[in-house]
Amino acid sequence: MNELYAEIKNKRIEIKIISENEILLDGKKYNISLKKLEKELYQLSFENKQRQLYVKETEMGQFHTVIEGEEHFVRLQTKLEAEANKLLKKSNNSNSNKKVIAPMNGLVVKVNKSIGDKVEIGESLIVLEAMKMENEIKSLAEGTIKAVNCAIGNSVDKGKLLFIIE
Amino acid sequence: MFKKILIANRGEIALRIIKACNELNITAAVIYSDADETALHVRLSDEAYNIGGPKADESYLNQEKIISLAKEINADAIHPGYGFLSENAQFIEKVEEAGIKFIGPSSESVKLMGDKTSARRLMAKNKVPIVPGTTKPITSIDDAKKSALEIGYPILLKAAGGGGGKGMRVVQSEAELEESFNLAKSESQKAFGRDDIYMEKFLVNPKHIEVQIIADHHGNYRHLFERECSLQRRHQKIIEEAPSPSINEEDREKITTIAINAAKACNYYNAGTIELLMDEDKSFYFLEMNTRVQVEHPVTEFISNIDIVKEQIKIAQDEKISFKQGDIKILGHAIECRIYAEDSLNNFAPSVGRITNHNVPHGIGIRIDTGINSNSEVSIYYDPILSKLITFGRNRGEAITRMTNALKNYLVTGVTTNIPFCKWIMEHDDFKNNKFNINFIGNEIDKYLQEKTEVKDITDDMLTSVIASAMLYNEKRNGRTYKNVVPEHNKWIVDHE
Repeated sequence: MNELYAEIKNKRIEIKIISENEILLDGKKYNISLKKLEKELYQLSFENKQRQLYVKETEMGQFHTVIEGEEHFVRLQTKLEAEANKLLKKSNNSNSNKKVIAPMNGLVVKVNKSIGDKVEIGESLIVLEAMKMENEIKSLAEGTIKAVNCAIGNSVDKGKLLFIIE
Repeated sequence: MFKKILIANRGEIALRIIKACNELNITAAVIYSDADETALHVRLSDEAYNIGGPKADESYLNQEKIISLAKEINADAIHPGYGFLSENAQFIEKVEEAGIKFIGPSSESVKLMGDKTSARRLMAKNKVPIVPGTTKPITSIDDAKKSALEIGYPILLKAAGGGGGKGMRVVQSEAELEESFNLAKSESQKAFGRDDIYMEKFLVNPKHIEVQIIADHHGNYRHLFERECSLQRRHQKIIEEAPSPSINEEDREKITTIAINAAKACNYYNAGTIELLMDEDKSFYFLEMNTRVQVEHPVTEFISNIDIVKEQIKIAQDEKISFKQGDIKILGHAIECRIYAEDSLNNFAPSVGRITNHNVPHGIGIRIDTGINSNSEVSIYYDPILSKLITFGRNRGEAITRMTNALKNYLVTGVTTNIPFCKWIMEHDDFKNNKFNINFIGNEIDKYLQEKTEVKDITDDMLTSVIASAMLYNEKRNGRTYKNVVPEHNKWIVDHE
């Protein structure tokens, strides 16, 4: 089951994609069907509605849609990315922002920094694959990498120390 | 009779003029810049000539090249459209000297109306009411102080050399005067190459109302009623309508008479517009005259059923105006939204890019004048107007409803457009109830920003957006993509529809 968080305007919606035709939004189940018409034009049926809309991913996880002259901006995160950000935020607040911890169980598919590298806030440190999704873990601190505690191909458990930044 | 007209413009207005030429069986020749090689006006013309580089100075403003091209291809006349060279008296003079007809007024009329202080003097002399203020440029700060005291604060400093909000400053009190005066002078110098400034009383909450006039070379003057264009951002109109919802038959009689008198005062011929401001006490003041076809002419065409561009061409051929004043009446109500490539959420900043979808609305009472279609390039070189959407109804309410629905069915992607903003205005109670003036957009924009970023409830459209985005995100992450649902062997049927 694929779990996502969506942010649209000032709202946040929890999503579980069950199948091509079933989706849970904040726990409520909808029967859906998405068809591609042309280029970025789609037709979505949900409940008794059939809506034509334009959808385009403008940046990783950022979507721009247009329906009946109205535009919307949707930001999507996997559950893992959302928790990583939350954890990092928390550790940032508790002044221990120099430790980077795995927010969830996953497979290390990419390590972007090695010992001695300078790192800035928002820079990508590592890519964790979980539930067939790649999740980028970004640094919320700046400094120099003092320790790297993982390598490509490693399976890491939630809570495992991945990096120490000095 | 003209056999060939050279259209010295681009975009939707070039296309509008091509249509008029087609109806009159005249060859439509156009010019284009390097940036416009595949532009729509090039594709729909009878003849097209590359005139130079993408910068307007090198192409659409290149007077010598345009005139020598017109001679070379044996064009009988030049239609300037709006903007570019349309109100350049020097250019018109050169066209006249080259023995080519200019589809517009004489260079003399344009000169008289182009200098704002001379126009004010001429109007005052001919009993056309002008906004209280000076009719000569102010030369010193002492003169400025003296005039401001006579007129009474707040006052407005304006450039004599041109409009468009450049060199324009509101001054609330004498303490601000000197600094504003110097700023207005230097802005004016930069924009128009001259720094003369004049002063007007600042009208606090006026409406912008203008009268369309037409005159021929045989001394006939007609008006085509008025338009209201109070909805402006950065001193530029975005939504116009005809007739004005703010005046009655008596006012209409008054302002159309003012307009005809103003046109006669400068021996005007061809199509022109007298712009007026209407104060809160319903006093009308002459603002300026636009000596060309206006962007918003379609609303007048809708309510009068007169083809203004065709009239322009016929008048330039020395024909008489095709109708008598008594022949025409107001047939209903029309509204125009100018569709711009701009971001209403970000201070109306222009947006550039390639148009990926251009699906236009259809139906009763809907007209669209477009300069683009799918795959058109919106470049940094020219005005970001994409098209004009115009609707007509038996009354204002019907025109508004049609506009709201037409905007919903108009999809332009690849650039950011002001379609959502226009729709928001159509649905705004103060717009519907005619409670607005030229400060409306400035006053309401914060409310728009708030509504577009914060909501109380999640709407169905928001859910639709979230579901579709989530499904696509998920598919991509799983290495799959949605395929077109139309089978290949069926495609021609769909294309045919």
